[in-house]
Amino acid sequence: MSKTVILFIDEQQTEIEAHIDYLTATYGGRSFYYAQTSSKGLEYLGKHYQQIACISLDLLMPNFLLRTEDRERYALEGLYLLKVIREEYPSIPVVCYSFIKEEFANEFIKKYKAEYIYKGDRNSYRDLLKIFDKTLSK
Amino acid sequence: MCESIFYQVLEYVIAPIGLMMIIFFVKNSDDKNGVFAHDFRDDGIESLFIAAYSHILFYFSVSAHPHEDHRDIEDSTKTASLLVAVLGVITTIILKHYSKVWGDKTKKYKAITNNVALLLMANLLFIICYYNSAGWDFSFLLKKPQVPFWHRLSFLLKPNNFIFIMIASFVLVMRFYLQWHKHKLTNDVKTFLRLNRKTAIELLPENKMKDYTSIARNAINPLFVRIDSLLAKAKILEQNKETLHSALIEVERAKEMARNVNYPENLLYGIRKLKIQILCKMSEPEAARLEIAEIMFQNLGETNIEMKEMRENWIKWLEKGLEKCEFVENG
Repeated sequence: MSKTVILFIDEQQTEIEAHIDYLTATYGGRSFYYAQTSSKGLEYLGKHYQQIACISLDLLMPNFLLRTEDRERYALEGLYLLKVIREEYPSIPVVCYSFIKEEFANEFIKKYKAEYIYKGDRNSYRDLLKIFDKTLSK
Repeated sequence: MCESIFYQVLEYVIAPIGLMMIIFFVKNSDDKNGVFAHDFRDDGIESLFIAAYSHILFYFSVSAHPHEDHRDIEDSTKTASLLVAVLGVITTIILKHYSKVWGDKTKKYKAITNNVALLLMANLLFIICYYNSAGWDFSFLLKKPQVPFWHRLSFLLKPNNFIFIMIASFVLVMRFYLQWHKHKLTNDVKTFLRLNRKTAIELLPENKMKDYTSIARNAINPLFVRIDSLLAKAKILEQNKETLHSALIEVERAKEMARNVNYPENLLYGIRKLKIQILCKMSEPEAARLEIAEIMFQNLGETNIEMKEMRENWIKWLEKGLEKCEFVENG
């Protein structure tokens, strides 16, 4: 089965809107799936993992397990998710697209072999699109 | 009493451990995506539940039978307990296999049908095992009880019975809690919950927790979090016609804040799109077009070709969205 879908797991859709519109214009409306929470992302992943070319994962998401507003725990939700994805679906490329500064999550991201793009960077948009184009055209 | 405890240990400890060993071998052989391992883990819980449930029924039935010889009860207890534990696990695996073959059509009913089918199977097994050894005597069901009803429940006071009833109740409550209270949780999410807890322990041992907390506090710009929350609020307000104006105010605040913190343009695009969406609902075409004009204006003096192309694309997409918008004439 060919890999034709980019999975976005991000709490804030407005932050990835430009990427979504790019994918729709270039590859069609079925080339991406947007999940607002970890659970929805995992649910989709479980059902369609064979079609997923790449995952764009936000590390800053509300933690539905801990139900807390603490920023440090808020941040860890994405890291938990990265570990789960790596263990369950080791062959799917993951790009952590987040506002969390790299040093904080660097060790973890390296350990679980993901790429990292800082959302606050001017070139982040193009960098992420390059990865999408590369994985979708494989 | 000692023997009874031994067989209960066999059911509640050794059977699940055996199952876990199978999981280990399956996961480490050729189950690359861990699909079988998922199911086996779930089946571990199911088999515990079945064992506990059948045990309750068994003891209840034995205590209800006034003519049984104590020795026979002990023997049949052993056989029934062992058989139920072993066959329960085998049945679970067989049923899981078939539910996979049945595919997606029955997937949403899988959890419920599996439980019901397994309970029926376990009950049938225990009845066959017990009454086979007792000579197929069902006549007590038709007789009027010889002792008051509450006497039949005295078996609950025995310590070993009490312990496994507690375990069974716990498993039962957990099962129904997950199935109904959190009915939206899928098997994948349940696995995620388990793994998540494991990761939390690995990631945050006592000595590391403090480091992570202090680093994380400085790792995120609080204004980014603030922009996020303003946009989330705007999205909720946007759902209601009466609060559209408030939604617009929130988006404006988010946009202003984003500019102040040098938010990358692609993220600003999302905010613009949301604003246009709200203005569209408010039937304000001119204001919506002004938002697109802002990007055009930015592009006027742009020398970077890549940047120019990117903005042109955004303008095109936003205009396309605006075309779909049905403005209602004011007045």
